[in-house]
Amino acid sequence: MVYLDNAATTPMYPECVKVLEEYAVKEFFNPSALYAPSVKTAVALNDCRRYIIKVLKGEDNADLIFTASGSEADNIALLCTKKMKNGKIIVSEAEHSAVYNCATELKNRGYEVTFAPVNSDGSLNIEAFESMLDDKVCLVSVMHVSNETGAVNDLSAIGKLIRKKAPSALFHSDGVQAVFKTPVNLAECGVDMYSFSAHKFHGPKGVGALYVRKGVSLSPVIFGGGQEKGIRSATENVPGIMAMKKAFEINAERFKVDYYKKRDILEYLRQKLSDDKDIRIVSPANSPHILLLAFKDVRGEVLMHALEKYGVYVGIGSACSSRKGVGRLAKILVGERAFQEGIIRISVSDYTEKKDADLFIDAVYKEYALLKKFVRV
Amino acid sequence: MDRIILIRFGEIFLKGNNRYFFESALVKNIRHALKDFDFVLTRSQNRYYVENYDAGDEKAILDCLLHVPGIHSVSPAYKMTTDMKTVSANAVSLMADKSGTFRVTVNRADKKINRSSTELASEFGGDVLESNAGLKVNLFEYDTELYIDMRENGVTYMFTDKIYGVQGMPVGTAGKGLLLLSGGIDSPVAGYMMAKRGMKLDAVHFHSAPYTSEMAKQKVVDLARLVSKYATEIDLYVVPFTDIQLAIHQNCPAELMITVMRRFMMRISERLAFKTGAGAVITGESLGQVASQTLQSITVTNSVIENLPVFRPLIGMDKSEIMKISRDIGTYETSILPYEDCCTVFLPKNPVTRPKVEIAQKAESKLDVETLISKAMENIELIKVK
Repeated sequence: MVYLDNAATTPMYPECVKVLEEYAVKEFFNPSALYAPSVKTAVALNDCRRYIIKVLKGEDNADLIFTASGSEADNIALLCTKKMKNGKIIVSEAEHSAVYNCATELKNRGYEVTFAPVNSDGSLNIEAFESMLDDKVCLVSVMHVSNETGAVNDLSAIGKLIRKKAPSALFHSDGVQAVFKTPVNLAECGVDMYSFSAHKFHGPKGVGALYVRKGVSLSPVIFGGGQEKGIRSATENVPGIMAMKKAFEINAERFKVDYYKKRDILEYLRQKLSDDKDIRIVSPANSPHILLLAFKDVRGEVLMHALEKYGVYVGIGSACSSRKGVGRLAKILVGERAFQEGIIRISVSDYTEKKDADLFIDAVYKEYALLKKFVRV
Repeated sequence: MDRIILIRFGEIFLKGNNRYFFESALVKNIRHALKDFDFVLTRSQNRYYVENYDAGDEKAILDCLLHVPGIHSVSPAYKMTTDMKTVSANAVSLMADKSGTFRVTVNRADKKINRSSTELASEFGGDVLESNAGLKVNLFEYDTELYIDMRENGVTYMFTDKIYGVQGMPVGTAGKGLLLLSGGIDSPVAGYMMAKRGMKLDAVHFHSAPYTSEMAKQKVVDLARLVSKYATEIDLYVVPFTDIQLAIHQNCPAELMITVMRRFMMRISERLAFKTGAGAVITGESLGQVASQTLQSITVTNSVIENLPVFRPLIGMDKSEIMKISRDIGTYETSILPYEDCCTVFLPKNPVTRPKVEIAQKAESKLDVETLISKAMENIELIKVK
C-alpha cells in the first residue's frame, strides 16, 4: 500500500498506542476525583498542557483547551468568543469547512462576515486582506497551512497587520495542517487562538486542542462538570490526550529530519510531474507536505479510483468535483476549465519513501494515459 | 384479556385447490419476517393470529407484517373469553380515548349466544355510549368502527383498526425474477412491484470502476437491502462493465452508446437468469421517460432477449406515481444519493431516440460480443443481501 492522503489522517505511532493502553487500563482514573491516583492523572494532564504550549512556543501564561477534534477547536474559537455587536468578522475563503461553515452560521446570526480572497496557490491574498481591516473587525480567522494546497500563510505578518489596522480583533488560526509540518511559533505570530488535531501527526483520532492566549474570554461550548475551565465540560479523554503528548514528544524529536525528508520527496515528485504539460502543480513551493495536482480532461475521482487498483491512495480534497459541477475552490485554484475537474491531492508523511513516490508516478502516468483516451467529446 | 395481532390475507381466497401452497408460503414468510421476535402463530378460519408476544414489540411486529406480500390487512386486537360482562367492559375501555362518531359491528359466530348480532351491537354500543360523553352513534358515517368478533370457540376478538398491508401474493409463489438494479429511483420500485406479486428476486448491477465509485456500489447494496424487506433475501450479482463500455466507446458511433450498452446488459441478464434459475428479467423501464425508453429503444433493447419474458411493471406509470411508491417503500432517499453519476464520460451528447435493430447490429458487428460477455460473466461478484 502507498498511502498518500496524510493530510486526511495518519496512522498512529505504536508508542502512542501503548500510551493509550496504559491510560485506558492502568491509570484509568477520572482526573476530577480527589483520591491520589486521580490527582496523579490530573497533574499529568496539566503537565501535558504546559508541555504542548512550550513545544508550540506559545506564551507562558496561555491556556490549552483539550477538545475532541480540530473542528471542535475551530468551533469554539469562532462561536464561543465574545464579539462586538455589529462587529465585522473576516475569514479567508479557503478555510476548512469547520471554520468556513462557522462563519456562515455567524453570518446567519447577523454578523457582517467577509471572506478574504486567496491567491491561485491557496495562500491568503495579503493586499486584499489588509484592505478589509478596520477598527470594527472583532474576529479574524486565517489558517496557518492550507489543507487544499499546503500553502503556508505568514502568520507573523498577518498578526502585525491585524494589530496595526484592526486592534480590537481576535486573531484565530487553524493550525491543523501546520503542527509538525512547518515550524510553529505561536508567541511570535501573536495569535490569540490556534487549533490543531492529533490524528494529523500520528496521534489518536478524537483528540484536538485550542491554544488560547491569556485575556481571551470564551463562553462554554459544553456545559457540565466544569472541566477545561468550564469551557468544555466532560470527563477528559486522558488516554487520548496522553497519547497526543507522546506524539508531540516523538514528532518534536524528529521534526528537523522529517521536515526536510518530506520537502525532498515533494521536490522529487514535482520534478517527475513537471514534464507533462497536461498536469498542473497547484501547490506553491513552500508547501511542507501537500501537492495539489490538476489533470487535464479527466475527473479527479476517476483517477483516484484508478490508482486504488495499485494500492495507491490519494485524496481529492474538497476543491474537487465529486458529484456534479466543480467545487467552490477549484475555480479559484485552477483557472482553466479543462483542468478544474481533475484535481487530486497527495500528501506525504515521514513514513513516505522514495519508492512510494516512484510507485505513484508509474501508476499515475499509466492510468492517466489510459483515461485521457476517453475524453468527453 | 390478551393483546394479539390479527392477519387477513386477500387474493389467496381465489385460488381454490392451490390454497395450501399459497398459505404455506405466506406462513413461511411471516415466520421469516418475525424471526427476531418471540411469538406464537395460529390459524383459524381463514385468518392468522400472532399471539404471546412481548407488548413492547407490537409496533415492530406490525411494521414487519406490513412488509409481507400476501397480507391484505392486519388488526392489533384484544382476545378475551366470550362473556357479556367481560366483552362489555373491554369495549368500554377500548373506546375510552376515542371521540366523535362511532358504530359497533358484531359478528356472532358463536351460536351459543342467544341474541342476534344487531342486538348485541346495540347493547355493547349502549354501554360504550354511556361511558364516554365524547361519542355519538352514527351507523353510516363514523370515525371509529368497533368490531367485535365472537367466534365459535368461545373466544371474542375486539379491534378498531384495520391497517392495510402490501396485499399481493406471498413471495415465492410466483417463481423467481432477475431485477436489473441501477441505483436510480425506478428499479427498486420495479423490484418491489414484482415481489408484491409473489416473485422472489435476484438482482444484477453493472459497475464501472474506476468511473463509478465504491459508494455507488454500496448504494445499490443498500437499495437491495431495502427491497429485501419485502422480497426476502436477494442475491445481488455485480458485473464489471468497464471493458464493455470502453469497447463500445472505441468502436461504435457515439449516439448508439446507450442503446448498445443496454443490449449488452440484457444479454448478460438473460444468461445470468438461466444460470440462477430466474424465469424472467425485470427492469424499471417506463415508456418515454428517457431516450433509452422510447418505444423504438425498448424494441431494440428487447430484441436480444430470446427465451425469457421481460417484465416492466412501471411501463405505464408516470414518474410522479413511481416517485410516490419509492417514498412509500422507503427507497427514495437512498436512490437520490448522487453517486452513480461519478463519471459521465460515456454519456453521448445526443443519444439516439429511435434506433433500429439493424443499425444496432451493424454497430455491434465491430465488437467481439461473445468474448466481452464471457469475460464480464467470469468476474461477477455475488453479494448476498438480507
